[in-house]
Amino acid sequence: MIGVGDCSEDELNQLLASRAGKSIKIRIKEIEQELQEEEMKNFTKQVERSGYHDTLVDICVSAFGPESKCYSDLGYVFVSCEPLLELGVKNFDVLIYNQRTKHTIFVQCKSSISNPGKDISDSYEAIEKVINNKTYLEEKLGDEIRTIEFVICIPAEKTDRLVRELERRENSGEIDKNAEQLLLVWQVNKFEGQILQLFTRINSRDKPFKSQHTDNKLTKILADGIKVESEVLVKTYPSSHPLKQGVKIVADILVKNKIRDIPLTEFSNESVELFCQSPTNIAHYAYETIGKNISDHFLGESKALGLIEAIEGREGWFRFKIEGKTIKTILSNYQKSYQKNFVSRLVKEKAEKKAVQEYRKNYPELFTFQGK
Amino acid sequence: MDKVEIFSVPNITFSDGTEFREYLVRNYDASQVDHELTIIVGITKHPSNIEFFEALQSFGFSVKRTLGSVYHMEYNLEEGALECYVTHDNETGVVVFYTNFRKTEEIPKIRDFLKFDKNTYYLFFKPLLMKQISEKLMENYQDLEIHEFTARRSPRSRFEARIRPEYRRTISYWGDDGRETLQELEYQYGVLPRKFVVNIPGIIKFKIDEEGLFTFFHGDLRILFEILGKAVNESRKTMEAYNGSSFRVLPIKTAHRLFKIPSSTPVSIHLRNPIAFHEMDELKELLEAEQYSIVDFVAQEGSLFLSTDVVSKSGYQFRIKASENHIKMFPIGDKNFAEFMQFYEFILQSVDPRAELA
Repeated sequence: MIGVGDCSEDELNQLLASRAGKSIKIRIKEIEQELQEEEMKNFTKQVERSGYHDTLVDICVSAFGPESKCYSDLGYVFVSCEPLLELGVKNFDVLIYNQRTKHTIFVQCKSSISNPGKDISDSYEAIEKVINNKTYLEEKLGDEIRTIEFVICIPAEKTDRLVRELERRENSGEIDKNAEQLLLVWQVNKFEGQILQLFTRINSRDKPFKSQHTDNKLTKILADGIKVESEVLVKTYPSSHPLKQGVKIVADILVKNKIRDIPLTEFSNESVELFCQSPTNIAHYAYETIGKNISDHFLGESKALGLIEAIEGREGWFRFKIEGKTIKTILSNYQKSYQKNFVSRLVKEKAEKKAVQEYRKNYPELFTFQGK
Repeated sequence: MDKVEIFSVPNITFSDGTEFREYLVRNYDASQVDHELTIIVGITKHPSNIEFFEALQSFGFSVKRTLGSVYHMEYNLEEGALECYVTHDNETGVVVFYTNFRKTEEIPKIRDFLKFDKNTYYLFFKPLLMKQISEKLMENYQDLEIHEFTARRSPRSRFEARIRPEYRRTISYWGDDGRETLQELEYQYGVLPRKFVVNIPGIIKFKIDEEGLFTFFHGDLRILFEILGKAVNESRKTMEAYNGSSFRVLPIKTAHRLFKIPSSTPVSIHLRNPIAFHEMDELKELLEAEQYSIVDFVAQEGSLFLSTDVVSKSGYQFRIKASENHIKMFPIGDKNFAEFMQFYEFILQSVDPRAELA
């Protein structure tokens, strides 16, 4: 018997071809209408959340940018975002390195703390992955890693909630508070000059230094709070929402075409790869691999969503299937069409699945029979 | 088409723009020349005279005579030619064009250059400066008359207005009681002057336009040049703020690898009219109305945190970040002076007429 919740395309096609096909189609349309509004809202929220996360990462990265006080005075500098992402394991958002002391800091950014327990567990899982892959990371970094610290970075208004949960776990023994690698906490105030600050009072730890960096000078600077002035301006992060990545790629295509005075809407896959595989656009040590993935996803998804089409007779060339003659309208319509088509596809998939499940529930004997 | 003759200046050598202006104060006779004298003020980032005049020449201007620091230049049009005298002050970056050619026929070429060259822009007189200039003139000259003016209220203006303050409005007025009317309209409708024609009987008649444009009809040029001096002083702040911004890709080395990290230092604009989260849709609309494309807009309520990439009509990209009291403009890639000036002008015109470069 087919398990409840599964719904293969074959199964749907069989049903649609059966006597029940007409009523299934009607039901799918009904469900689509029910889901449409909610899924549009969900999509908007996902993009928003990705934006909040990215801007938090921006601040962390910039506090350790090449023009920052942390770099000029102490030698700590941002070198890569999302280390270990390419291995498909739980990973941190930011890698900071001090070339002189061979010290690394891995930072996990959490823009919302709906489940602080899970956020803490995720960080500890990521710590384990870093420790297990230390040699691999040294190779990617091109240098030795002597010491490591791990940080969770959160918006200042969420600090209390996270720290309370961290203290509870450490007091209850769920986290060994005598372990060598304890999570440190940074908080960011986005609204008052983008200040990043070390949270120095985790009460479950017996000694104050256990909530602080091993480098006293770094602790001093971070405890006072760093105001971010110059910023590291990467174009996108590997785990940013695909729409956010897509719109940056589209903007780059349009701007370059405008400057070269060639048709705005035509582009080659090479130009997409060039953008995605640039070490300054995607500040990742494995920018070539990561960039290729982003570029392939952009092209594949844009085709699947009907936003681009291949240009006949010109291999590797595409054109946007989006209305508009100016950068402004094309960009705006790309964002609207992406959302609309993505949500329609999702709603259709969900509606089909639900319609089949309902049918299965109402006529289990038929499914038992068909499944044999 | 009637041929226009440029006002004559003999073959003498001027050491700088100030000396040329002093010469004009002493010798310019409006009754002896065709049309009015138009003075167009710009600001340039070209590092020296040589680069600036090369830019003018590559646009199509040619040097007819060199009078020390003053260049007598010509631009050939389909019918006839435009002639003007041009000065460039290396220290402030201020460039001034003087001509008595026609506003609608020949002068647009100078305006075109100021819009075309990415290192040069017209010297925009801030709304508050225009207000100060008009008030100061009225205070100093009791018999001053304003015969025509255009005044505007921007959508987010916090200047007091008694009548429907929420409306944006532009009012043009012609009439001999312009002085009183301007004051009344400022009081009632909260508008600020953007251009006006001033007549101080027996002393001077001229027009000033916020887009760095003066028209001198007759009288004593000294007053006009004093106003020009004020605007030039203001421009120093603009230049300093722009010079403080940068975009660089900096190398970070480890033992066996080189990382290239892009770093941007912004121009910071201080807002006296704070912006709030609920005004973000309006800000987006204002940007789009100026043909800016919004890429990846993130706004968060706390008080306010805003981050977005922006693409201008000409394809220039930059990032803006804003809090309640500041808007920061981060260059992404090469800096572009004209784009910076355009964005600053947009902030002054549409977001906060009292905004200041920090």
